[in-house]
Amino acid sequence: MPYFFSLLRVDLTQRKFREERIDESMILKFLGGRGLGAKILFDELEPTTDPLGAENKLLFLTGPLIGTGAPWCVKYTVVTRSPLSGTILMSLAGGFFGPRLRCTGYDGLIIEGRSEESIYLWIDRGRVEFRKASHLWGMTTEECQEEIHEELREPRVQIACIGPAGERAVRLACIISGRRAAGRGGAGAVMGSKNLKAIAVNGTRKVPILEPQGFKELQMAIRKEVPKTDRLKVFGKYGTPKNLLLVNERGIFPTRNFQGGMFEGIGQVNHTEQQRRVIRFVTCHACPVACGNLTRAAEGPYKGITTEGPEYETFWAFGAQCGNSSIDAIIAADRLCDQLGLDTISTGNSIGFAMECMERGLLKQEELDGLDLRFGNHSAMVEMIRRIGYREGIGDILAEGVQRAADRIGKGSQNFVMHVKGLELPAYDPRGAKGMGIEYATSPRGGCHERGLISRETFGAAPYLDPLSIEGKGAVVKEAQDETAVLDSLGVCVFPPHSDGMDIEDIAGLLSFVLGKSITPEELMEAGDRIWNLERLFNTREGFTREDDALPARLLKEPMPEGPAKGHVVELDQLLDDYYLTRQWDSNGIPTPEVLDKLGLAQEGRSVHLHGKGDC
Amino acid sequence: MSTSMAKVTVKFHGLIMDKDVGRAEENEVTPGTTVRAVMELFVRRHLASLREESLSGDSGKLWETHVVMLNGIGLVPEKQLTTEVKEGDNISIFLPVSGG
Repeated sequence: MPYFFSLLRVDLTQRKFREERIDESMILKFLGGRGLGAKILFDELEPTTDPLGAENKLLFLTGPLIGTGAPWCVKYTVVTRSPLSGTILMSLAGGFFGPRLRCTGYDGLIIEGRSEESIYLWIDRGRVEFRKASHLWGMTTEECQEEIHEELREPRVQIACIGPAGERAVRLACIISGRRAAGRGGAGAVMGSKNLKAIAVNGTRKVPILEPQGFKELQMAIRKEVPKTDRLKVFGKYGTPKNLLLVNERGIFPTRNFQGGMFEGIGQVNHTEQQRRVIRFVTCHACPVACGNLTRAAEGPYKGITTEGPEYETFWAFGAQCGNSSIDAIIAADRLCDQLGLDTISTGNSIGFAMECMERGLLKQEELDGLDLRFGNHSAMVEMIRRIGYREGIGDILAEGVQRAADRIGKGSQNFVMHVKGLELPAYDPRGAKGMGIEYATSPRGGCHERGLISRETFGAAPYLDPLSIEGKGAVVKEAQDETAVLDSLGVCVFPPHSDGMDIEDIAGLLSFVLGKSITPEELMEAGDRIWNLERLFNTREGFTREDDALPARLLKEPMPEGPAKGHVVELDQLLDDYYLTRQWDSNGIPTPEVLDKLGLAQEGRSVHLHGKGDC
Repeated sequence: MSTSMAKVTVKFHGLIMDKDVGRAEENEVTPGTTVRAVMELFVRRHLASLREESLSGDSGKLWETHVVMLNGIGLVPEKQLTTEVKEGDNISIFLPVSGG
């Protein structure tokens, strides 16, 4: 098989590096990005490796469509073992870093070991340099990027870095490139544990496309449809915040730490209020939609603060989740998280949890160093972000993630801590969208909505799907998960396919022209299934079972108090039975030998000793 | 005749910038009026603003693209055509589904 991908393996301990080639068969099987990362991590990482130890690996991977100029093919993926959930972690970011990384001549990086002193990596047209970062340590992500730009004086350089949160191994820490975040699961803490402050990349390599004419025609045809597509136009104008009003009206907008599903402050926190504050639109590489907005706070103590976003999840995390209806405070919170290098979903979720603890008398004001952390107190909320980022006072406890914080606080707080496998839940209440309950419970990195979002259920896209029914949801979720595994692994933004922008046939066509061989949509979907199962095997090897495919007690026992889903809880056992059956997993959620064999994962299955006899 | 008129509220969420968040309009309609007919009434009233936003195409046929809910429950187009409104009903109209 000819090689197609080239990876740079970097040993930070020894300060050595070497190039490794990935042959085409691996790309056909695992596509790239997330899928390739799952294969590498599964093969190379010893079970129970300490996520924050030198032995953990940190992968930065692109896919074969990245940098080709095809629309929405932009995302790089960080793959590692999560310090928050202990699962495999895939965390993706748009912007410009991914395409520029491919231009260096390397399609991805495998970072190993731990540097004795703080450093940053400089990769320029195939050349690799370990550079001192002691002067960068302590800087925010913005300061760090500015300083490296100043040092390197290369206008096209792109940088991925951590902020003070990653340096302190805050488990909510993310990796920032430009103002885009590989946000979830604590990849920033892994980077910090390796004393790696940043990676700067530059290059001019043209990425390979084996059938350039066909590729060009197809991608131009996709682009031509953009101005004619209503849903894409809407998305380009407003971005994800457009969904705030809709999700709230559907009664699945978690409010005050999931105590309710409709936020009374939605009139102040929505896309039209954001539009009044937008300075200009912002885009990722090669994107004809440009859904991002640079927004400036208009009033009060936050007046003048700008941020790229906030997007839907962040509006929720520092809005409804914290009972806050000051949109300007949300803008400030978003900017501060980006500067410190904190995941906004996990941070907002954690603060909402602490607010409920305080209101229930489980946390006293003196334990909060005088901070009046009531729901709706936005100045306390913003201050709390800072304390988490720098691990100050109670912030040090929340910096461990909400699951560990609840264990520490105790007093029954475990009953309303909103996470799955340690990853804080995002902005949809599955009591009113039952398929989302399966997605939260089974997502490989823990409580995540994004690896299998069902637009039909969550937003009411056609054709109709009853959000409150559990009937047939296993199959619907599986299909969404497999498709998302394809998109993630090829680095395709998930939003356009949800907006009539590009479908799996288009993607198969683009990939076929890049590789110079026919790939069908069915083969892509099978690859998605394969990737999902391999990630499941990774987690199984780490000891995760059906018991861990759990949801917070609140979602299982406390009926939704209001809105269209009033009276509903999540019928998780029935949903999981249906889902496992659809996936051909056994009743404990472990992939059967049959499905592993069908997907070409029999060897990986055997290595996990799933059935005790080594027979699968 | 007037005693049998039904009051129906139409809420429109972010369809028309600066004018409409959470805005609700009451309509008095005769019994037997469908959800679609109430929406057509709404579109006739606001067509100029909707066109200005360029979000509903030139036709103003919101029901072809937008999300419509009756009392908090999503309605597919066929149901919009046939469901008759009654006193106190709330119809909500949202921008088309996109993104995630």
